[in-house]
Amino acid sequence: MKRFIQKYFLFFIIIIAFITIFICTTIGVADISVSQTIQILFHKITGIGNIEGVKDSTISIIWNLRFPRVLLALLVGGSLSMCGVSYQGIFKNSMADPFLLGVSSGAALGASIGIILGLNNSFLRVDMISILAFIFAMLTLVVVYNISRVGKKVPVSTLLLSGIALSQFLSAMNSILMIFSDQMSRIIYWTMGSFNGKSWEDMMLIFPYAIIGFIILYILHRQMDIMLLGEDTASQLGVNTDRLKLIVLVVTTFVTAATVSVTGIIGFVGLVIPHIVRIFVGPKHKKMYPYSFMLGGVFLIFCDTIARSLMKQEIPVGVITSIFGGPFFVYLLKKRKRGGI
Amino acid sequence: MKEEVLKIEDLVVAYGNKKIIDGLNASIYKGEFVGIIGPNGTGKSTLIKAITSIIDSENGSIFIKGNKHTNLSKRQLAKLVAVVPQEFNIEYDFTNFDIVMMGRNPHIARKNKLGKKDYEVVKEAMVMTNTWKFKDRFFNELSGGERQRVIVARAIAQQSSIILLDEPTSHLDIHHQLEIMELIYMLKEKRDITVVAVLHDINMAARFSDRLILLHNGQVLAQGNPEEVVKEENLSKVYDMEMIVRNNKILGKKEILPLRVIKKEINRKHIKIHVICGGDTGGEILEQLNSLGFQVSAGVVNQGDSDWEICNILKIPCVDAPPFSHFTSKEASESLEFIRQSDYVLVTNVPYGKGNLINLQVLKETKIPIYFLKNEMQIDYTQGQATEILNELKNKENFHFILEYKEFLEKIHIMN
Repeated sequence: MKRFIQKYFLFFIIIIAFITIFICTTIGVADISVSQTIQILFHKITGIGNIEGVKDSTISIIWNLRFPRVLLALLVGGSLSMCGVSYQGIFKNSMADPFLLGVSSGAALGASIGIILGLNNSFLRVDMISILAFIFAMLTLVVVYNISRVGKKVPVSTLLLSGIALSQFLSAMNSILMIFSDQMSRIIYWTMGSFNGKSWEDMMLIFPYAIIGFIILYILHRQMDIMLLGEDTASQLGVNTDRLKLIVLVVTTFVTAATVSVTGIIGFVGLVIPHIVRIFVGPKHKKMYPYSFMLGGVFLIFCDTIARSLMKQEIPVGVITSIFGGPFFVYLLKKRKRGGI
Repeated sequence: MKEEVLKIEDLVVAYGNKKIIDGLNASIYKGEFVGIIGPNGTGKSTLIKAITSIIDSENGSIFIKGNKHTNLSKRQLAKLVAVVPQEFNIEYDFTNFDIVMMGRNPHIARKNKLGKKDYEVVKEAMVMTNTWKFKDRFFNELSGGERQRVIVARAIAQQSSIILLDEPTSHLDIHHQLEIMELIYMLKEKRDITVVAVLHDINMAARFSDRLILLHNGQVLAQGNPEEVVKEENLSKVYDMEMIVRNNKILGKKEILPLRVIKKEINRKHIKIHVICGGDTGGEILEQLNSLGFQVSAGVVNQGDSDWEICNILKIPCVDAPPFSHFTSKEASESLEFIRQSDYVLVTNVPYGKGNLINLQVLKETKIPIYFLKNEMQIDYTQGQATEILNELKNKENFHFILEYKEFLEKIHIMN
């Protein structure tokens, strides 16, 4: 059974992804049937078919609200997972997630400043809060990277520690801002992450980061494998480890900063999905990247659908990922220990 | 003159202010098996890290096949130098095939897929190291010796000109130690690969190396073929302990026998003991008495006898006679001279023939205490002559039978 799952894992995930996209686009407060959803999506994407009989509001809900939101969740879930894979590889640490070096804390601080300053205008149709979050996230990496530099080299251990230190420092700054601000609830809500009100524009904003990031990381898959043997060994096998680290850190930070600045901090996906995928397909990055991307995407679509439809008031999706991901992860770990999977 | 594949010039490597390697010079030639020996903390492993650019040097340069190593990219460097580390563990489930295939990394352009050639090279390396049979098993599942063979296979697959080994056998049992060393020796012979191995087993190093480099305080203390390097005068500067360097006659190599580190401080030079031995019966006794600080002498023994060798190594004065010769009265009187100056005579359980019967006869002439190690085996090969002398000796007051050597020590300690 395990062999079978391994062989067709990607195939399964793609099928599941399609089904999830359709079903989750159908689920929602407004009662719309699966056939209508398929009809609308099929027509909009391919131009074939006829949707004249369908109400405009239904088309709008499916095409302008739910579908881009589902696709965004797919991209964000996928991006965070593939960044998690990269971090766990570079740091050889199973606790690593894309927010390890403080990118999320930086983004949160940027967003808080934006919220407090009341920056509600936008630049090139991207709102200023997102832009500030993105800039702060990138700055965080620049600072962490430079603190960690020892001569020409950047050891992962110092990178990890300075990342944690700066992350804590930025969180503290953020807390101070929250305490003295009357916008505390808005800031807290932002940090919990949400896809609420996201549109095609948000989706298109993330899209290039996710795709270009994926391509670059995928090209590096073999070197990432060797990196798992440890930095010294990788170096002796011809991997320029310092350059690899720099490329991976820059790429993942761009991708993570982009997603966080649009959706806020969605935790747990980037930590758990790589582990789950590794259990099924092994440690090789050639498989880890595509499979994690797809599974992370599906997982986040699933969580977001619950977040927006479980109760009248929308629950932040970051809460859902942890509530569902945590126990499932523990279950997998336990099962794996017994050699079950 | 063979091609110089590795040249190290005035190398200085430091961790902080501490200079681990301090002005090291060495040249290594194509097809050589060079063993690097020396105590812990003397810069052996650091040297390997410096050659592979894992740590930067403060001063000096390293040339690999004429290229300054800092001018080489990691990829170029990995094509020239492969490393077999001390021990290698990973937490991830890579198959052994995957691990060996990683050795191909420097040869694969980034976007290129693994080619048929890479597969062939990996297969050959794994067959050679006898690891092909578990290519699909996980590396984690293997035993220490098997893992090390996989790592050697990876180094072979790297197709480099030089293989560096950093104490490759230190975590293995003796069977697997030998297996790895033989494997690497075979590689050197068959493929003309240059091998530089950091080893802390000096006997293993002397056995397999064409040349040894002895490091001390980050510098080369001695280098040359094992005969020239494995000498007490060199090793005693580096290792603070009592040792015996001797020829291993079976392997035809120099061999070190470490004796002890913690020295007995008591000086017993005022107590003189003469040992009558021969035929490999006295080695341990001579060594122990010598190390306990007594002034020891021996004889008469035949030259070439292993007891005679021990006397030479430990610089114990002894009366000797040509091999297989009958001891003469001249030698007997020399021996008696030693006995006269001694406080005790200790006689090991050496058997007596016509040749060495004099050793028993001289005992009749002395009044100092004689301790005679008794054993169950036949010692008389003289048709009763030896037994006769022994019976005569038994009646002397100064003659004592003892059952084991320790008894002798007890007896003389009581007296002292």
